[in-house]
Formats: sequence, C-alpha cells, structure tokens
Amino acid sequence: MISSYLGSAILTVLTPYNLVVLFLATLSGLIMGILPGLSATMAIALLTGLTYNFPTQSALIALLGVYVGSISGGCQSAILLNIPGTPASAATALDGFPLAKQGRAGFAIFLAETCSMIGTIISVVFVLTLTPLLTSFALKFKSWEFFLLTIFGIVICGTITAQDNVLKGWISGILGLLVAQIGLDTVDTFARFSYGNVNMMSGIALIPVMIGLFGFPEIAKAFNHQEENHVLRMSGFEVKQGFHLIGKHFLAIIRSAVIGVGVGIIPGVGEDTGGWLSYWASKTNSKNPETFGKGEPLGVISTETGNNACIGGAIIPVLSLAVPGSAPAAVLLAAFLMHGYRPGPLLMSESPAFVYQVSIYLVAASLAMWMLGLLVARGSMKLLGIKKKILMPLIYMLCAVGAYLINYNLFDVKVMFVFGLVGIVLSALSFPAAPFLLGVILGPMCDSNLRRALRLSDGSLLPMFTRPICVVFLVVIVFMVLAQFGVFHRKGATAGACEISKTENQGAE
Amino acid sequence: MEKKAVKDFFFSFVLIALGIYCVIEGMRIYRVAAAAPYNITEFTISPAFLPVVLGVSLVLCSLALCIQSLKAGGKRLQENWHTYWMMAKKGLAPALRHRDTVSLVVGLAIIAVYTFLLLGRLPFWAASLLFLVPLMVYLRAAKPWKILVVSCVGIGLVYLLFQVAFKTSLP
Repeated sequence: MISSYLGSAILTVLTPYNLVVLFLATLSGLIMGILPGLSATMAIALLTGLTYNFPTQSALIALLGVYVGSISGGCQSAILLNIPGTPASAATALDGFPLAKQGRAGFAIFLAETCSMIGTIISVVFVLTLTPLLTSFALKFKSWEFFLLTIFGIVICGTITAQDNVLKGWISGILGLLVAQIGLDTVDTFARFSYGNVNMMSGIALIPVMIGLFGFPEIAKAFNHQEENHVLRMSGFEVKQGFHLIGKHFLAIIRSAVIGVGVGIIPGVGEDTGGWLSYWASKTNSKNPETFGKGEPLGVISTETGNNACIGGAIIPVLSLAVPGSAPAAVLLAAFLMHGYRPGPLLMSESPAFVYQVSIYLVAASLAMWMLGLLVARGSMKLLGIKKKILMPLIYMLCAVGAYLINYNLFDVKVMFVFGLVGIVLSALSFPAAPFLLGVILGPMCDSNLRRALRLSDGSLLPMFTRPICVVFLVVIVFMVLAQFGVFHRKGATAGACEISKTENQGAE
Repeated sequence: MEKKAVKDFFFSFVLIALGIYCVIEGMRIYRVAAAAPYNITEFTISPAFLPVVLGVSLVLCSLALCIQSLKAGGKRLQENWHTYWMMAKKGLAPALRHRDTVSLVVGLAIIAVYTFLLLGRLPFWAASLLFLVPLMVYLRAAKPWKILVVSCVGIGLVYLLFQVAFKTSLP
C-alpha cells in the first residue's frame, strides 16, 4: 500500500505541468529567500493566494516548493552580503560570509545548497517514519518545558554568537525578550510598554525587527567611503572538494539533521533555532572551535543541514496534530486547509496517501532547489554583487516593501528603521544581533508559557524543579552560565569571568 | 583594548538605566494589573512578572559588563576612573567629524525622510524615486543618468513582482 502511494506521488510530480509548477515555485521561493527581508512565511503566504485555482496536487507541490526554496535561498544573501535572506540563515552568515571574503563564495554556496538538499531529504525520512510516533514526545512538553526551552535557546545563541564576551550575547538576548514584551500580553490581554499606541499594542512584528537588525548595519556600510570591492568575487563551486568535505563531515550532517528535525517538531520553534543549535553542536564537538566564525566550512554545512531539516520536522506536527512547528509551517497549515486537506490525528485514516505525497513532493522540491540554487548562484552573485552604493538603497526599498507587506501597515516600516538604528549600535559595540532576534522570536512563547505555568501552580515556581525535562534544561542552563563565569576553570572560581574575558579579548586581538 | 573597554564601560550605564526603567515600568504594570478590572494581585502571575525579571537580569548582566570593562581597561584606567571620561571625550570629537560618520548621518537622514515622510504620503513609485535618486547621487554611486535608469528599473521590477504577479498593494 505504501509503495503504491509513493509511486503514485512520484508519477504525479513527474507530469510536465507539475514539473513546471515545481520549478517555478521553487525558483520563486529561492528569489524570495535570496532577497533580504522577504521571508519564507511571506513567500508561502503570497503564493497561497496564487495557488487558489490550481489543482490540489499542483498547489501542494507549489507550496512545498516555495517553502523549501525560500528557506534555502536565504543562505545566498547570508554568504554574499552578510544579510541573512531569512532568519533561518542567520547562523550561515557567521562562516559563509568570511568564506566569501576569502574569495570562496561559490564553494560556500555549493556547500550550503547541497547540505540544504541533504537536510531536507533526511528530514523526509523522519516525516515518513516518525509522524505517528515522534509527536508523542513533543506532547510531553508542557508550559514549564516550553518556557525553559526558550531560555535555553537564548543562552545557547548568546554563547555561540558572542565574539569577544558572552555577556554581550546574553544582554542582546534579554533585550530581544524585552522587545517581545511590547503589546498585549497573550494571557490577560494587558497592554505592556504600549503607551496608548494602538500599533504598539499589537506587538512588534518579527520581520521588520529582523530586517532592521541584520540589514541596516550592512546598508550603513555602503555610506563608508572605502568600499571593499574584492569581497564579492565569484569563485568556482569546487564541487569535488565540496563533496569530499560533505563526505568527511557526514556524521555532523546526520547530527545536524536530527537536531533540525527535533527542533522542527517542537511547536513554535522554527528553522532559525534549528540552524543555531546545529551550528552550536558542531562548534562544541569540533577539535578546532576557534575556527568557527572565521570561515569554517563545517559551520555552513551544519547550519544549512539543520535549518532545512526543520522543514520536515515542522511538517510532522502539522500533519499529525495540526499544530505548526514553525511560522512558515503555520501558513502552510492554513494553505492545506484552504485546499481541502484536514491535517490532524485523523489524517492517516481519512487521507492516508497525503503523508506520502508530502514526503515525495518535499524530496522533489529539494532536488529542484539544489539545481536551481546552483544555477541562480551566479545570477544572484551578479545581482547582489552590484556596487554596494547602488545595491543598498535598492535593498532598503525592498526591505521597506517586505516590512510593509507583513501587515500592510507603514508602522512596521518605521519599526524596521528604529531597529535598524539599534542594529547599527549593537554592531558598533560588538553585541551580536542574533540573540536579540531570537529573543524577539521566542519572547511570546517564553511569556505565555511561564504565565500559564505559574497560573496552574498558583504562582509557585516549585513545579519547574520537579519535572524531569525541566530539570535537564535547568542543569544545562546553569552549567553553561557557570562555565562562562569560569567556575569550572582549573584556576578555580576566583579566576572569575573577567579572566576568561581577558583571555578571550587577548586571543581576539 | 582600552578603547573597547571605554565603549563597554559607558554603554553598560545605558543598559543599566534601561534595565531600571523596565523594572519601574514593570512595577507600574503590576499596580495597574492589581486594580480592577484585572485584579491580579499575585506578583508571579501578573503581566509585570517577566518584564521585571528581565529588567533585573539586564541590570545584573550590565553591572557585570561594567566591572569587566573596568578590569579589562588596564592599569591606567583602573587607577583613575576619570581617565575613562577623558578618553571618551578625546575620542568622540574626531569620530563625529570623520567623513564616514557625516556620510552615515546624512544617509540615515535620507532614509528617515523616505520612511517617515514620503512613504504613505506619495505614491510608492514617486516616494521611492525621490529616495533612491538623491541617496545614490549623494553616495556618488554612478553617473546621474545611470542612477535614474537603475532607480526606474528597480522600482519597475518591484511593481511587476508585487503589484502584477502577487497582486499585493504597495505602500
């Protein structure tokens, strides 16, 4: 039965009409992903309306194509411009951009696109096998676990992205969490930090913050008189060496894919977290962690595998629970419903072929994405490699359009500008922007789950220390914080954080 | 090293002030939420709880950053806190006069005019043209005719993609 479902799905995708739809949709997704400020969520949302009159199978192919394309496309601008096209590619910029600076942009793009494809395909294996099983683990996550998961994410992100001082990473994360407190709170609809402004009451939208934080410092660089023209020079893909490296790091790829799928399954935690966690795992396990952030190919490999594996992971709870694993998956769920599918616990009995169709279409989309991603790389290099003084004003216009289209509200464009200034200040003072962004992303989840948990326990924090998963999270968080303050340092606790910081600073210099 | 320490030292005070503001605003939220119609008197379930916790965390982390910057500043700075202020004053004036800083401020001002004044008041194409051309001319990005062509093509493509293909409305 399963083979007939799979065979039928393969034949469906191979019809000329559907192949054209697949390639066009994936290309649209790639372009959306490449252009900074146009997110995967927006790409799917825009395409959902366009696919309204499509046959259902073609619409499904188009939606999955644009999803895969947009998540993967973000890596190209992250590598070429140091502006992640989507939040998912934020960690890719850490090593991708230094590689491009070294004149190996083509190599970095080849690694990123190939690992994106591999990550998606591995995640499909999980979609096929674990859809009925793995969701039971995610169901064990209640409010306390979700709250601690967000704190864990911020601490990890702050730790791995801070170049010279971990404190700066954590401060950046706290600032992001504070920004997420603006607006009506999700439990009591109490307006916080809104000052009577209706736009502020609805909260600060994520996309304008992301565009501002990551885009503005790059746009501002165009105002400098000394332009680095040599940065964006296209190089060959170094296919042979790329495949060799991928083969060499295959275990890291598998680990990143598993992390990506795991993160994707957890509702609300998206591709960006998957990318960051995979990056962190590879850095931690590396024999040369100091090379990360300076053009380490493994950084690109793990991030792109991890964030693309999240696609399959995020689809698992969509299919089995009708709960989206990420923001783009939430739009995808709405699109499924619009096309007459009813994801949820009854899906396997009502439409047993659906899971297999989704899986095959995901594989087809990832193959199309790989081919198109490499084909358009030179084009995107040319597009993004135009003189920065010409490109950046155009990019700002696109960023403004991207920010506006989220809610069709000019307030979001203004928010983007304000957070752009914040991004410039953070960048000038060596504060990483990524934990800030993650704080904004995870803030609502952090707040609502903490408040819900505290309500259920009548305001007591005690249950947090009695739940096994919580205890694991707490131990890891406390260990990471203490480790950064030198508690486990050989010299002993007296050495303190300052010694660590001094050593790091000297190393950096 | 000293320059970095000075920057961190002064910025930590900004962060501490921000943290204290969050705590004060959190306490105000708590008081309002404790009254009708919310009547949430328990602090831990109040909407003020997380902002206060985050404010306190920000103050603590910023204090740690401040202490670190003092220790990392080296002997010269540790012996005399006044040196921090002198160094900041000494470094600030040339930095503000630097042509990159001037260029950044003017560039950001043009962007601010586009964002806050032009968008929404003029049609998108007109607002964008009035933004792109002056900014590129100021940056001396290319010859004026080239700038005009690039701007028109850019705006045209955005129209084609969003207004025609995706049927969305532009600001």
